[in-house]
Amino acid sequence: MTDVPRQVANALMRHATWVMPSSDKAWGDAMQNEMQSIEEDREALRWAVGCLIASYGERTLGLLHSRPARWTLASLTSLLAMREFFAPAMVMAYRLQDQWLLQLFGAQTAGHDYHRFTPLLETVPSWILMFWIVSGLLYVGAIWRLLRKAGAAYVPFFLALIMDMTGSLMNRPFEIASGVVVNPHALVNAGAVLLPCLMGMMFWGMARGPSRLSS
Amino acid sequence: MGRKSIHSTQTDRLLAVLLKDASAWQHGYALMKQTGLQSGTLYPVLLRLSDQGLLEAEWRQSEISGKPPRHVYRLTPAGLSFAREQIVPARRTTSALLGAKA
Repeated sequence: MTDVPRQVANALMRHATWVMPSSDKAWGDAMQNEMQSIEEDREALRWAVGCLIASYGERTLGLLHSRPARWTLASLTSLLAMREFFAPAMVMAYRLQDQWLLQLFGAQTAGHDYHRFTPLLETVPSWILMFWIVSGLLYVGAIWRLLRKAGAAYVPFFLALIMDMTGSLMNRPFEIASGVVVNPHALVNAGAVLLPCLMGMMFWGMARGPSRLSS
Repeated sequence: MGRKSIHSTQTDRLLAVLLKDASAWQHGYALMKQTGLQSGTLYPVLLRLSDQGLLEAEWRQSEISGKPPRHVYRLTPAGLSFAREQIVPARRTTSALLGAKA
């Protein structure tokens, strides 16, 4: 009777070859056949685990390089860009006392009213807004690079993320001093941090060598 | 040829091993043993090198009867010159660093 590690290795290897993109089927078969030449069962199991990781990696790369993935990521990045431009636009509207724009922007915030932001709108300095404007422009640059496949799009994306975080950190004392909680929902705040990180990983993955699926 | 995309220390390790006996065909398992890379790292590197036309692969009957055929690999002429470009300067840098330390 075959040992348990060998049985597990065989099962994992079958799954690995199934996960492997069809264009890479020969490589899946190569990994599977190679395992049959490994005498030691535990060594075969380690081999199979590695191959499973490789297969999922190839499959993920294939998905990342697909047109729908690129457009999805570009759409999500455009939301981030809009978020970056939102605060400067709202401050600008407040300073110009454009009530129509203020009502419009306020309706998009938690509480649907801009009045609760008034203490912050009055105190936030213009130089902090520059961080967010630059961040928004960098996100736009990342989208352009992503869709045009013009170089590594993760570079402007991560720069945008750094600018965004720096701006937010700099703004924190003003938020505390004014007593304004920009977003009271913890889940939304967590998502606002996690989503860009996840997107950054996707940008990074897309910068890796092209997958066969994209060719 | 987007060579930048395949550059990594893992690739260098594999290229160094393949360059050692450039005319010989090598199995994936043997390459794993020699490079110290896990199969999950080794195969993506092999795939990229093959993509770039730097590595050739073919099926060979296993020496053990009853076992399925195995994939074997070696560098193509383009792969050979790429490996020499890549590995020799790296070795020179390492030797220079070691020399400077001594």
